[in-house]
Amino acid sequence: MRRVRAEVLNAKRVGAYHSITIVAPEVAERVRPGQFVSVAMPQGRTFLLRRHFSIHQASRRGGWAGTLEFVFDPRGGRGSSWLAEVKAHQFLDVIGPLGKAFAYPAKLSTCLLVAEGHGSAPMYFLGQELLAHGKRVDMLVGAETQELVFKPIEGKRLAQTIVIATEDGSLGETGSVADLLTQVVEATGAQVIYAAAGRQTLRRISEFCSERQIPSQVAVEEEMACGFGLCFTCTVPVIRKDGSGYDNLRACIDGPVFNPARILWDRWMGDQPGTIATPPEGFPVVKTWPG
Amino acid sequence: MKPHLDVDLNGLRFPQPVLSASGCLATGHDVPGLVDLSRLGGVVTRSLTFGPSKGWATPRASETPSGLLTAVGYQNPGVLAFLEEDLPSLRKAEVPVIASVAGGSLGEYVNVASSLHLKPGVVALEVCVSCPDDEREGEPFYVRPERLTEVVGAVARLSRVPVFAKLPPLLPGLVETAQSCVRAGAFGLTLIDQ
Repeated sequence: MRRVRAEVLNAKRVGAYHSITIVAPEVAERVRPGQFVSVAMPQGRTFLLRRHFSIHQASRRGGWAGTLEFVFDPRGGRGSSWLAEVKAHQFLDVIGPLGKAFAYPAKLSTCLLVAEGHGSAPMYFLGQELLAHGKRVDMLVGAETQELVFKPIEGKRLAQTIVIATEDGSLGETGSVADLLTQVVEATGAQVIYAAAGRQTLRRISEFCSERQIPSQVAVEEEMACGFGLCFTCTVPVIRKDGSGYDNLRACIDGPVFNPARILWDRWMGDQPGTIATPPEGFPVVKTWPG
Repeated sequence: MKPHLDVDLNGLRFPQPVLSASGCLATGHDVPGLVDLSRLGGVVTRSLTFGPSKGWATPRASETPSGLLTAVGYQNPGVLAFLEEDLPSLRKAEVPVIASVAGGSLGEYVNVASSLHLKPGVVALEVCVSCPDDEREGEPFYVRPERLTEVVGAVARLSRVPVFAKLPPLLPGLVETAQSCVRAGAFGLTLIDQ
């Protein structure tokens, strides 16, 4: 992980989202899909914490070598709206790359990437890397409305097949990505599923994968204060490898990519997680990914 | 004479006047290469319980104007894991360590403190009294001054290193509580626990 003062090369709108490309060779050459960067906010009383963004693109070669791009929703909060005003040639204080990246399957070859809203951003990076590893990539991309679908045209270029779903039916199929999962998995014969979405959707994807015994990895979102493992605010309850119990793992350094079959969803999302007891016989053992 | 910033707190010496407060640098083990520990006057560890503690459910943090509210719930690896994994890396950095002691009962405070106070590198203990008291259905120790001083006194009596009592800000009769902590044997006070 490096802390760099990075120049903004390009800041632009992409549909409903905002994209910032920065020059950070030290970070770009190390970064892998699923990892994120932390960006300092302006000095002053309004912001204390850095903001964290998963990486949409990192160029190691060619004319854009040493740059990386992250995408955010400018309506996401005060930090995001400040960042949406940042112009080219300004400098940002960036720490990265942070977190654990997605792993690539060794033998299995058909990968389905499922994403919702701005969760699509890291998926394009992942898709490119999987293609470079000789895998087949299919995509299932969803959002609330047509405007919130991130880069559907690029998805068409990248993936063998792409299915787009919107809640209001303004683009592609009507419904959520989780509703279409069965159909898409049957059509593509997906052997591995990667997902980045909101918790509810991830939970449904996780249940689907457990039922069908499809190895999967998900990138979670949890409120994060420091981003490099010091504050313990972004924890996710994850079952230990041997099933003997669970640990609250930090999404920033033990994640944000987890095996969803190991996440204790009830405990993570429940209203009263403290009252959920650990079964005396322990938790089921989940084989290491990709099992 | 060479200028210096070292601080002498009635015999307890720190090379710099700035220390990282409890929780800010975790237990010292995971500190990434972003911070040069040797430039700090000292490191106060994350509050340590005897066994590992999982902490509370998320969300645990919220940014406020000029600050941050957190409710982590004392997630930590436990004092034995701290001694094995974290303390050696702090000692290597040659930074004075103040170990923050937490617990759910008087016995746990005593056990944690006695595991820590003689370890090389630990220059002082800090008693965190905001923990929920198991004997009083989760009421924090600081709510009853007699309970608070019982805990601070017990740790202070056994410890060979100075003991600081860490007090919360919105306590009625804060001054009296502080005085009773000192009477119970506290070497100093840490202000303020959120």
